[in-house]
Amino acid sequence: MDQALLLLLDATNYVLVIVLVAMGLVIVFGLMRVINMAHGELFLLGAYTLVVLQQAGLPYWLGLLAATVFVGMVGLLMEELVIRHIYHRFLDTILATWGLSIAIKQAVVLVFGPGAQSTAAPITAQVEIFGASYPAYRLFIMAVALLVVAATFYLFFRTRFGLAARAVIANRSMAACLGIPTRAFDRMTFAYGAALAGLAGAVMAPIMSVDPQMGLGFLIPAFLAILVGGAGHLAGPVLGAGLIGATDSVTAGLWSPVMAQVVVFAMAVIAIRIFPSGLLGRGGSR
Amino acid sequence: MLRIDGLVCGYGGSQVLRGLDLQIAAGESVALLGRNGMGKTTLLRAIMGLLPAKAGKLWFDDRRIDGTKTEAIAKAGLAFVPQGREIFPDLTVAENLQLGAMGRRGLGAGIPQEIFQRFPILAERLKQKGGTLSGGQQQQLAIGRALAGQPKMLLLDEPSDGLQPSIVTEVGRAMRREVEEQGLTLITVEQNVALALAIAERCLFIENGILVAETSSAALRADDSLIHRYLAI
Repeated sequence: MDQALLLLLDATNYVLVIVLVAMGLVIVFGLMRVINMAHGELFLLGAYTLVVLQQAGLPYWLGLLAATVFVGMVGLLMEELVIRHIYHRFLDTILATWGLSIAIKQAVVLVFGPGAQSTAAPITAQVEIFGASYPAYRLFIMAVALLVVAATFYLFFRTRFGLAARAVIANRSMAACLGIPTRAFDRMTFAYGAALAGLAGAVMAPIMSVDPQMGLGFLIPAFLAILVGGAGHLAGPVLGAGLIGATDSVTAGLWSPVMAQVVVFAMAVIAIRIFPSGLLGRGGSR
Repeated sequence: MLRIDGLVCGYGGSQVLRGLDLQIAAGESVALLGRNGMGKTTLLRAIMGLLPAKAGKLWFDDRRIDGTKTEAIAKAGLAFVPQGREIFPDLTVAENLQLGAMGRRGLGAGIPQEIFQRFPILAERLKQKGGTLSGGQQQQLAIGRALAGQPKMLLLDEPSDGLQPSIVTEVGRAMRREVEEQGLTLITVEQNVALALAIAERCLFIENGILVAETSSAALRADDSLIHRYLAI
């Protein structure tokens, strides 16, 4: 019983972490049609921001906030200097953001070295859940992920800001004809996606090895989640992450981590074969 | 209110407008008539800043608008209802109207209630997605969305396109009221001469990218030789 419960908690934790990483990615990819290969490095920058601030003696919470804001600003800069020149050049966005990803990673190596840094979690307690002991910080991560998903849905589907952002995405020139400042919404949307990556990196830093390669491990499942779930709607990657994360955790727990990878990729291939534009995709192009 | 001097504009290397001059006074309703491919839609797109002018000058309300961004032109008070309407099909009627209102007047702006007096059907369909409306309702939504920004001047491209005759009459009547009661300045591009005459008091004929003739609607009703010359195939 305990074993099953822990497995369930771990699976939920993994699902929510992927959702957290995929959310920023899908805002940029699904809504703006830019594959941001540097998303993992934005995640990385979030984690290192926390490292730097913690080493300077500042509290964790401040680090979390600073990581979100700082990486959001990096995103703003990326959009202004690189991305805005290559919207609608799909392949070029991959190459350009891949280049950025390498540059950021190497810059981090130059400054901090290739080794792992460590950060301390603000909460070290274990909590009892139905008799099983579970780290409270992991519950905190899950809460953050849920909050981010809820806030993102609220922002894009319940506010006037979100309405204007969706109008810009749906029909750019018509939105401009209505007087909506399209460039400002591009910048803000991209920066929001980047900020989410920074937040995810800082939240995850205390429970993983903070090194220059850390972004990659989450980027691949996050992309898979988007492909399986569909990028046409924000709910797509949430569903995709649920399927990918649950399959991975359960298979790894019951069988082995290696088999988990095999099963996840097999499932993704089958899902994409049956639903080419994702489970929540709209058949064909958006 | 709108003045255009020697506008040259086109797509790629080809010129569609070749030095077009045009002046429209505040409160005027003008119809732009001409065969397909003569530059009517291109002119509207150039005024909105969707197509860059290769030469020539444009003023709106005594402000130069050539080279200005489309959103700034819209904010200055120009609204555009394109051919094919281009409503947001996945957004509800209310959201479409809301976008029209806040695009020009800021995020806090609400939908002006006059829109629903003008087009009562929109009030009944507020929660319905724009894409599920009939063609006529979509045209009313597109016009309502443009009017929600309370523009000074409206550019209307082929409002009769794809609509059944009874709805064309209804749209014509609504636009005429908007001009007379609200003082809206209006340019209507039309192939349907009856609708153009119902909306506009002045008719301009465009051929090969310049204005070639103009007449009052009353004169055109009495003598349709211009129609034969510039519209008949």
